[in-house]
Order: sequence, then structure tokens, then C-alpha cells
Amino acid sequence: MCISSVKTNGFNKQLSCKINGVETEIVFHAFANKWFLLITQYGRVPNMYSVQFDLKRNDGAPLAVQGPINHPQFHMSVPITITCNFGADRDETRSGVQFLVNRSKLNNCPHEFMIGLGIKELNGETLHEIAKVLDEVIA
Amino acid sequence: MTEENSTDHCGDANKAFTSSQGQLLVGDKKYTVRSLKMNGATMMFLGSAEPECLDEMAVAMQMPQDGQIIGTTILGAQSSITDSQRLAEQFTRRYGRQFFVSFNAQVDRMTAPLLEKQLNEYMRNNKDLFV
Repeated sequence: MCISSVKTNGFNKQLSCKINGVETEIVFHAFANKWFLLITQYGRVPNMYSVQFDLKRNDGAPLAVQGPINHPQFHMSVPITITCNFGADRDETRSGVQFLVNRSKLNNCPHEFMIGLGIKELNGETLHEIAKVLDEVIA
Repeated sequence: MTEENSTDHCGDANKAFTSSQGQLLVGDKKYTVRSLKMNGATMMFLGSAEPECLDEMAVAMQMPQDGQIIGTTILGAQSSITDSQRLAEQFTRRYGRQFFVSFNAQVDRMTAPLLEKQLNEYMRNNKDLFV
């Protein structure tokens, strides 16, 4: 038989949880050259963005250049380039992606990643909650 | 074929996504199939088992007005119809739902039809994982 095995959990992490009281599906998988991340409250893929780091991560560049710096008196974002591959390209979604890169383990990504982010009410509280979940999802 | 029957998803059963992973053998080469069944759409990744890359992705869906199948490549080469797009259109036509396909296998004219045949067989045998 050509098919050797079937497993019912196909990704590094796949879970369903409540974010700001709304059921949210999260799927994460680290491919060899890219990370794939889907966070959706719509039950399907709402959009798909490619995110590339402008500075190669962990390449000896000082933290002050690579970011993020989350200090009350001085903040610096991780420099990234976001490209919308699919779905509605909205400023709020791009801001959300940048926030998650700054505030979660997403900035540990060695290469680039793809993200689908479909949140019904995108605000600071929701994004903080997502960042917290992502820190658990991304080992 | 061996199957592991443990389910690993939580939350509302009606809403929760279902994912699965399988392996195809073509000659001595191994390929990994990953699927994510969502509400009304399916995402599938097919690639060489080692290293498993993500280079290409396409989406296809059926137009509600005239039933026509429309597909497009959203990641990777845009100059011609990619294998991902061709497969996405084929699966959408067959199963009547939106399909995202990421085809990342290095194949030639000999192995491509064999891989596709095994993929079709795998999907037929495990239809509930995809639709």
C-alpha cells in the first residue's frame, strides 16, 4: 500500500480557544523555510499575508537595530515587510501583524512566515490576548 | 495503511477545525500530506517529507453566480498555472468547496502522475478528513 500512515493532528499546534469571548481557531506549523500561522474567528481563511524580516534574525545585529524594544520611554518595532497575498488588505490587520511580531515569540522566526489573521474586533485587548496564546503555541 | 484514531482538537465540535497528516510513498521518495478542514473550505499541504518546505500556494473556489471554478496562485510563481492551482481547481470541481493547495514537491514527468494518483487515492480513502 502506498499510504503509510494517517494522523489526525496534522500540524505542530492546532487549537481552539476563546479570545475576548469569541471562539478562535489557531493553527501553527513550522515548515523548513517558513512558519505558517492561521488565527481566525470566521471559521475559514480570511486573508493571507507574507511577512519578511528586513534584518536577518539572530545574525549578530544588536538588539537596538533588530528590535523589538518594549520600554515605556522608548519603543522600537521589529522592521518587517508585509505583503498581502490573499483577501482584503486592511490597515488594522497589518497593524495587528506588526503588534504580534513585536509582542510575541513570532519575532523568533528564523526566516519568514505566512499569517492569516481574521479577528472580528481587532483592538489592543484582543491583540494582547492573542500574543499571550502565541507565546504558548510557539515553543 | 495504519491509522491513529486519537482526535486532538478542542472547542465546539461544529466549529473546530479538523487536521490530519499522512505520508505517500512514490518509489523510494516520501511525501507528506497535511490537511486542514475548515467550515466550507479545505487547506492542503503536499511536499517532500524532508525538508518540508512551503514555497507555493493557490486557492480555487466555485463562483455562486454561474458555478464556474476560479483559481489563482497566491504564493510562488505567478507566470503560469502552477501545480498548486491546477490541483486546487481540480479538488474544488470534485468536492464542490473552496480549496487551498500548497504543492511543494520536486517531481518530474515520471513521478508527477504517480504522486497525483496516490494523492487522489489517499483523498478518496480518507474523504472525511478533507470534506
